[in-house]
Amino acid sequence: MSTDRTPTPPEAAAKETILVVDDAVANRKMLKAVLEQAGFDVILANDGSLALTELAKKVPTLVLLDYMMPTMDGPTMLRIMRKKHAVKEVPVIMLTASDLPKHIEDAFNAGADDYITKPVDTRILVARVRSLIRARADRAKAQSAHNAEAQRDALQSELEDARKTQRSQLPKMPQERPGWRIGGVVIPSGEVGGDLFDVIDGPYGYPVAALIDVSGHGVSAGMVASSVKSSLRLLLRDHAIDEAMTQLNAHLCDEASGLYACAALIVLGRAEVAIVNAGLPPIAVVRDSKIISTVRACGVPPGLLSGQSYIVERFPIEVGDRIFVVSDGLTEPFGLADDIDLSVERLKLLVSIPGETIEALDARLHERVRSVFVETETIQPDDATLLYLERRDT
Amino acid sequence: MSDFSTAPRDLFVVVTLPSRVDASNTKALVEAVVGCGSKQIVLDLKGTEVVDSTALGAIVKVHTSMQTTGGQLILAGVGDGIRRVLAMTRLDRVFTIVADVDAAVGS
Repeated sequence: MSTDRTPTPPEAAAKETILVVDDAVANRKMLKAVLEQAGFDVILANDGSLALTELAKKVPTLVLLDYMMPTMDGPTMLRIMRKKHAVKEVPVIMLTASDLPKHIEDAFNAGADDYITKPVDTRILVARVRSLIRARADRAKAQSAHNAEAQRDALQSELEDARKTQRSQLPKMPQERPGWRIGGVVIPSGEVGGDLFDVIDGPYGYPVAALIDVSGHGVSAGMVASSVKSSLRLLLRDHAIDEAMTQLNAHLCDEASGLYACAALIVLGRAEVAIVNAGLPPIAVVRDSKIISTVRACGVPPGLLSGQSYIVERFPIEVGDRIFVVSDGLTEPFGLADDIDLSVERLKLLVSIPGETIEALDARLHERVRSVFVETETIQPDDATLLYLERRDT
Repeated sequence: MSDFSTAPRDLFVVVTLPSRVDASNTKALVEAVVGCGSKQIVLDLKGTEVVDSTALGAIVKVHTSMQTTGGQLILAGVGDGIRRVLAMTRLDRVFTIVADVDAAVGS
């Protein structure tokens, strides 16, 4: 048996641990000395049974296992070890004085990764120990990369499902209601957005259009947006829009998710509209291709401060009038968050094409919203949403 | 290193904000404000161009929390863009907003 000095490699500083299992005191002493010289920590066990006890205490980097031992031999111990979850992947080198093919076959059948016959050349022993440790580390790294890729794929798939679910929650657009045609465009900045719109049957027989822009982005904002939409549907069964907004504020403040929602509710009457704007950019009312009125926020976005109340703004509406509601994702690319005039102009919302079908109008506005970020040469930082409401003679 | 520097000034601690405050550094902002241990805080936004919705929500929460414990949070040096966002969300009526840090510590 060689006792050649083996140089300590730099990687030995990691102090990997080798469990040496051998019934012969001299062998244990020799292997301990060689392995420690090579930079490893060493744990010793006299037989297979004691080795299993050691494995229960600490998972080694590798096991050097003698074949023939009293009480419990190497292959028996190895078969038990390979069934234990915590240590079943630990590489094992079987050491034996025997080079009988049956012993070698038994060792591999029991789960050995390598087999070295005694007397052992210590240089070869240390080289094989390092080789096996490296191979196991490479496999673990490859497995980890594979797992990470699988997790990414699963996450991507979940996001895609979330996106589809969120899209399915949007009302069918464009749509016609008595005296109104309604359309909407939502372009999220990611797979899932915090912007939503809805058209809800209000408490007085008139539809209520809603635009919701939840703070932040992504899945959490999308979940809160869905929750806000559900809350509004319930609240607007028997509450006026200002009371519904007050209740929504209380609900979001109680939830304490840290998120809030800029929101607008618009009751679409035949001769009058009623608007509550809570933190969205001013809402533009257009008549004869001119903005005749802008409705600024009357209250703090729901979810920010408890105890808020909201004021309804009402004004008469005529056939042909159009109302545009946008999230700040459609004002900020042009400059200032509250500059609805510029946003309406740049989105070409004042353009009115006689005889244009609702489908053509919807397609035109989708195209305009999509082109904003190309024209302004900005990466879409926020969800961009437009809700348009047109008073019709029907 | 934090994007937010803090410095004592008279009875106040002045927290200076970077040019952009958004979801990526909102936590650091809250830590800077809460961690300074003062009940009188001035947020200096002189060099700040963007405060996104996440950061705005956090500033409101800090403001509310400080108010309930008898503290005070003042916004100083607010530029036109952020001032418009505060007005749009009606938060200009919630915060004390002053021209600059000098005005804040003298208030």
